[in-house]
Parts: sequence; structure tokens; C-alpha cells
Amino acid sequence: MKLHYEVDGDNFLVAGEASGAVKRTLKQIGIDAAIIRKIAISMYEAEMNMVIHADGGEIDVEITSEKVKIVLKDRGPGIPNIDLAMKEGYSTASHEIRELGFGAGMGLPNMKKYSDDLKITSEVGVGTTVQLVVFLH
Amino acid sequence: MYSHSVRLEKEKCIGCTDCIKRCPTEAIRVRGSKAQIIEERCIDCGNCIRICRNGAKKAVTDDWRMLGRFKHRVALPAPSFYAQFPKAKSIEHILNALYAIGFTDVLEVGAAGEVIAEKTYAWLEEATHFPVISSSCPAIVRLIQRRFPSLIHQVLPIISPMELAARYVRECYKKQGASREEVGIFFLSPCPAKATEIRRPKGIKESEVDGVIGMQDIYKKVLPYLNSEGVDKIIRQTSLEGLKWARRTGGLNEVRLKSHLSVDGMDNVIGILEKVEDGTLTEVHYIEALACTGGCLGGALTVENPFVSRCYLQKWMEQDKKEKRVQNTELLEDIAKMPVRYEKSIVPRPVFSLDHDTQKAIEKMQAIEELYTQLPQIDCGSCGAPTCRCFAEDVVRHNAQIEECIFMFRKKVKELSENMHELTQTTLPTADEN
Repeated sequence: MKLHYEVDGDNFLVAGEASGAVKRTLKQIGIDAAIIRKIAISMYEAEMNMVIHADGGEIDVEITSEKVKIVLKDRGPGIPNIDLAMKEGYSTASHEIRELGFGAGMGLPNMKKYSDDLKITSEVGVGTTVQLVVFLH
Repeated sequence: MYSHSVRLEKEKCIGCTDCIKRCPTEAIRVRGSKAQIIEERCIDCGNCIRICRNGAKKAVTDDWRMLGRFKHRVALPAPSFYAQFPKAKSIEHILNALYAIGFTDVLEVGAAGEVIAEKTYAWLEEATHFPVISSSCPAIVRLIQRRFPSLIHQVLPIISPMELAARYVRECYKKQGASREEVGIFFLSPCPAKATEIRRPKGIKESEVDGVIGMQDIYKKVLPYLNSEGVDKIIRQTSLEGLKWARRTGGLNEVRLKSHLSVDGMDNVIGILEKVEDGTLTEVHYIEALACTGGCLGGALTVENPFVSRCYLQKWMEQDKKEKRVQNTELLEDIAKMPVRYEKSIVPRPVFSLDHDTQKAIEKMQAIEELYTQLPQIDCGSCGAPTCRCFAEDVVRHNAQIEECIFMFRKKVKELSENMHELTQTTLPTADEN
């Protein structure tokens, strides 16, 4: 099945709602709790990145009996150096964002840790696409 | 078969939709103008009891007359009990009244709470999954089993102060040579979840508590005896530390916890557990989560408004402070000899799962999503389900029919009448049009 979400980049109150909805859906489908946790953590992280760095975007989720694939697409500033961004502790977040408890530089490393397959394509000035896959078995 | 404490009194239910909206596990539907509780979903939080303006939901606790079956009748008053009696001269007077109404012995649950606090600090030193989530509120543990199964291994694997108090009492009487049948142990409870807890205990095989008596049931019995004679013989067992368990922040000493958070009220707890699930609270070591707003003082079986009783509890705490009451170390050391760790693990209760077969579950989920887009999405509740999404789920599960939605019903009637009108416009070749 397929799900689609629009993410508002200016509203912290609703940030994380798409991951919340996906989490509820997966619980109803009866996916193993430990796997839902992996998906929840990596997707939440990715969704928050869209809000913090890229003024939102859109998310497409595909659920099959084998895997969950999440594609997050934004039209933000893009990541100039993906390898550098993947390093733990590296962050470009502003002081205000850090004050909110974000921007510890764990975003991409955590997404990699909790997903089974992570693909990031990015072009400066155009946007970033993150594809997360978690296998169900 | 479930033995739930929260029950419906059918004749009082008018079929309104107040309770279905407040249930944290979507466990109530209105069918045939009466509410129905879906047993396996109910966590006995008592939200529906509080919200019902007709008193149609009630908590079934044990009958007071049950005391008559035992030679030794031991009362276990929860710390929140004292906050229901602000006019008593002292806590000793409240405890004395318990003897006056028929109990033969009393153990203050707060004393067991003081021991549990120490055991919790010790567990936090050896725990590997953080944040550890408190387990003293049974409604929260039941919520985690149903809505947050991935957090089960973070639940504090230690029995509640109530259970420890009962274990200790049982052991004491056993040592004295009393048979099990002679000793009745009764918890004076602020909440219905505790009544379910002794019948369906979690983490242990069997509860040592024989009966749970709601504070509302015992309140009027205690009132006339608050000035009874014999109060000078009463020896207090808890200190200020034990009374703290009735606060909304729980019984642990904040100073001794590294990084902690306390949350009360079902909606607030759900919000925090979502965050734990999303991995955003890994820095927090301990979460005290209580289902009722105001903690145990807000329990559905208490008498006093929780914001008022908080002030009364404060009064008792200050009195203990003024009297410089210290911990009863001898008693506490004795209680601490009892085992407190869970004997068996808590299991998930996937009550929301649509099908055992993942593929079939996905198909049903898709059907729910498709149906949901056709519904008005205003969550009016007229269909008897709390939300349109929940109604869509009920339809897909064959527990409801699409026409039970008043909007879908109207749409169908409109279509039907349009069809009928269209039919009336058909010209009949054999009939005169005028």
C-alpha cells in the first residue's frame, strides 16, 4: 500500500506527524515491534531534517509484506558534502535550532544505523531526496 | 475471559458519545444506543468513569463484606488515602479509624514505597535500555502492552508498593503460624486499575492482595471514627518519603535520579511515550508516568478533587517534616528482604493488529485508507465509533456497516431519490402523458 504526506516546513507543532501516522499504520498491520521502532526512529529523524533544513517537502511511503520504503523529497538548499554530513557530530544547524534540542549532528548517522538501506541524493540549490528501506524479515 | 474493573451500567447509559472520545485505546463503541466496552482493549484507566455524566460507568471493586471471611483483616492504605481526610487530627487518627471499622492490622503502603524507591535506584544502575519507565501505575503498563509494545523492555521490572506491602504482610503472618485462609489483605485503592491488577497481575504469577476496596466505598465508613479512642497505640510506618508516592511526580527522590521526567494524565503520557518510541528521549534515564491527572490523587475512586487533595497531602507531608519523622529503618530493612523483581516478562497485547497474515493486514489497511477518504472526517461520533478512521476500521473488520455513518446514509438516500425521480421521468408509450 502507498501513503503520501505533505510536510510543512514552518510549523514545529505538526512536525513528526507523518512518522506518527506511519507508526500507527504499521502497528495496525501487526509489524514486529522492534522493526516498527527502527522505522519510527529513522523516519522521524528524516522528517525533522526536512523541517529544520529544507522548509518541508513530501513523503511517500510504500508498505509491502517484505519491506517498508520511505522516500522523503525536499526542495531545500541541498547537502554540499554528503560524506561529511554522515559523520557523527557534524551539524550545520543554527544556534536557535540547537536551543530546541536539535542539530546534535546525529541525524544522518542515526538514519543509517536504524535503516537497512539508506540512499541520499542531493544537489545544492535544488534539493535532497532521502530513501530509507527497512526489511520486515 | 477478562475480569475488568471498569463496567457499564446499561440502564444508566443514554448512548451519548462522551466516553468513546476519551478512551485512550479506542475500546468503547456505542451500539443500539448503549456503550459497549471491547474487553481486550480496556486498560482500566478510569477515563470513561470520570467523563460519564450519567454515572453509567463504574469500577467494580471488592465487597466490603468480604472482610468477614477472614480472622486477620489487614488494611493496606495507599498514601493518597490520607489526602481524602483533611479534617482528621493526624494520620494516626485515620489509621486508628481503620481498626475501628473492622480491620485487625494495618501496613502503610508508603513504607513499601520507600523500599521500592531504593530498589529502583539500584535497577537504574544496572539497566541497559533507557529511559526506564515506571511500572507502579498498572494502567500505564497495560497501555504500553497495547499501544507501545516496542517499549516493553524499558518498563521497570519491579513490583508495585502495593504488592510488596502485601508480600511482606503475608510473610509476617506465615511466620506467626497463621494459615493463608485466615489472613485477608485489602488494598484501599484510589483507582480501578489496581482491582484488575490483583486478578490479572503483570510480571508476577499471583498477587498476595485478597481484595481491593475503593476509597469511595470506605470513605463514609471511616468518617465517623476519625476521633476514636486508641489512637495513642498507633505507630506510623512511613515517613515523608513514603507519602511522596501520592504526588503527581511519584515517590522517587529527584535528587538521586540522574536525568528524569515525570508525566501525568493519559494524553500527556501518550505524547511522551511516542517520543520515547521515536528515539528522541535517549538522554532521559527515568520516566515516572501516571495515567491520572494529578497522579494517584486523581484516581477515579478517590473522593476529593485532585488539585484540592494535593494541598491536603502537602499538609500531611509538612506535619511529618515538623515532627521530624524519620524512616522506620528496622521495618524497611525487613520489607527489603522480600523479592521485588518481576518473575516473568510482560508480553505485548497487539489488540490493534488487523490480521495475523501481513499481506492480508496490508490489504485491510488499504481498504481502511480508501474508505476513510470517503468519510466526512469530522469525527462526529454519531456512528458510535470515536473517529472516522476508527469507524472505517470497524467496517473493514465487519463490525459495522457503512450506512451507520449518517453522512454516508444521507448520500445513499439522495442517490436513491435521484434514481427514483429519474424513473418517474421515463415516458410510457401506452400511457397518456397528462
